[in-house]
Amino acid sequence: MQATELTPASHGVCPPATHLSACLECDQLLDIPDDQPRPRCPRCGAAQAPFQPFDPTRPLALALAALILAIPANLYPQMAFSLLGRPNAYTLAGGAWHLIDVGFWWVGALVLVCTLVAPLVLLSLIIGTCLAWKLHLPSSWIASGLKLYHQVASWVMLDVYLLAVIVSVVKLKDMGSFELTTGFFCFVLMLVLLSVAMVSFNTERFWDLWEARRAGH
Amino acid sequence: MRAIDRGLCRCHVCGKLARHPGDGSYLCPRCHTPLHPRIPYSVSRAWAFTLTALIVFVPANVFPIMTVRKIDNTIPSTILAGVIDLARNDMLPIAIVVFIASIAVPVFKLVGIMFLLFTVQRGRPINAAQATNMYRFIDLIGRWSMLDLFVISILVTLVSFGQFASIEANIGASAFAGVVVLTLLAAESFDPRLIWDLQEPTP
Repeated sequence: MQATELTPASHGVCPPATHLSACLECDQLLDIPDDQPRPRCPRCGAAQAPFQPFDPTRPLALALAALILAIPANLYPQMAFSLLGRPNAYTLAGGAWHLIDVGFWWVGALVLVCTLVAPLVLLSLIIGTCLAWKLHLPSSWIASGLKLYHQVASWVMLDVYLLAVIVSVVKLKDMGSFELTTGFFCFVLMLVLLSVAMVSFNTERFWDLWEARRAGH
Repeated sequence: MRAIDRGLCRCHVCGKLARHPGDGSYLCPRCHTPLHPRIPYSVSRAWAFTLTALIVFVPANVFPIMTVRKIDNTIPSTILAGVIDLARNDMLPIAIVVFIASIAVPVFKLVGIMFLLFTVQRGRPINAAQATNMYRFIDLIGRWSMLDLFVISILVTLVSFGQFASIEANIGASAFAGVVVLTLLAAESFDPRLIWDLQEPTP
């Protein structure tokens, strides 16, 4: 963007407003301009949440699409493996349940949380908070949703699971007949939508909106 | 200028920059979460998780993580044996991926966090940018150690044909899951701002 000379009389042309913030990784006080899409801390280089205006519509739409795809991704088997004509299928819940069933409840529960529970809770939180915002529901609901989002986000490990599927393909392809089935392709699409939704869901700016609405009432 | 020098603190939940004049406990004016200029007891918590992870790391590597049972033979395999097996069967790229995710990453994480903790406790300034990069790297790669557990979940479910052929999970897998979770918690408890505090002249 070209720098514009400051002319107070003209409409809409003024230097970008800045916001005071502190870097969460090195505690440096920062002045972040309004219009920077990917601000970084000048001292340690940590990415900061941008101050661009936030609209809950976008993450809402993406999360809804992801949630719809999550239905076939979880109901249909993602992989099928057969040996001597006997087929076995893998679904996310089924795999974790199998582990719990044979006594590995701790590993099974971990797999269940990281591949199924955390992503679904995260999607529900995005949809819930954005809808609550649009429908003017009580602001305390949005606040608890946003706080919970923070804690759930780090346990979503679908990208790691995707790599695990690839490793399994390589390990099993010589043993019997292995194929990736409908559920897996729905899963990949869901993963893409979920990632984009998470990027567009800027919780800090959502808090700003929340605060402004609360003050206005 | 650090936020703490101005009596300010950024809320770790909602991002609000709030006043925090030194000692005492304050709540974020916006989301009512307790404010902490630095993660409380960051170093001791990180040490506790790291040392526990170090202990659990032994059974995770000594005991087999899964057993492959075919009609004629039963082969239990540890993490390392699984990697060697993949490499022998001309699947070198995948062997490298599994090696990085389940051996290199946990070892690097444990060594890295201990290095950072020692540095912070020694209290002499270091190259903070480099140390921060190391911390970020540890934080970024940690979750990829879950790879082996997901693979076990997939293999155990898909290859269960009774006496013909089956893959079973073993106790090593539980221990390995423990290592992954503990190192994740250790990295989460460590406060990278402590690295930068070393740069400040002590009064």
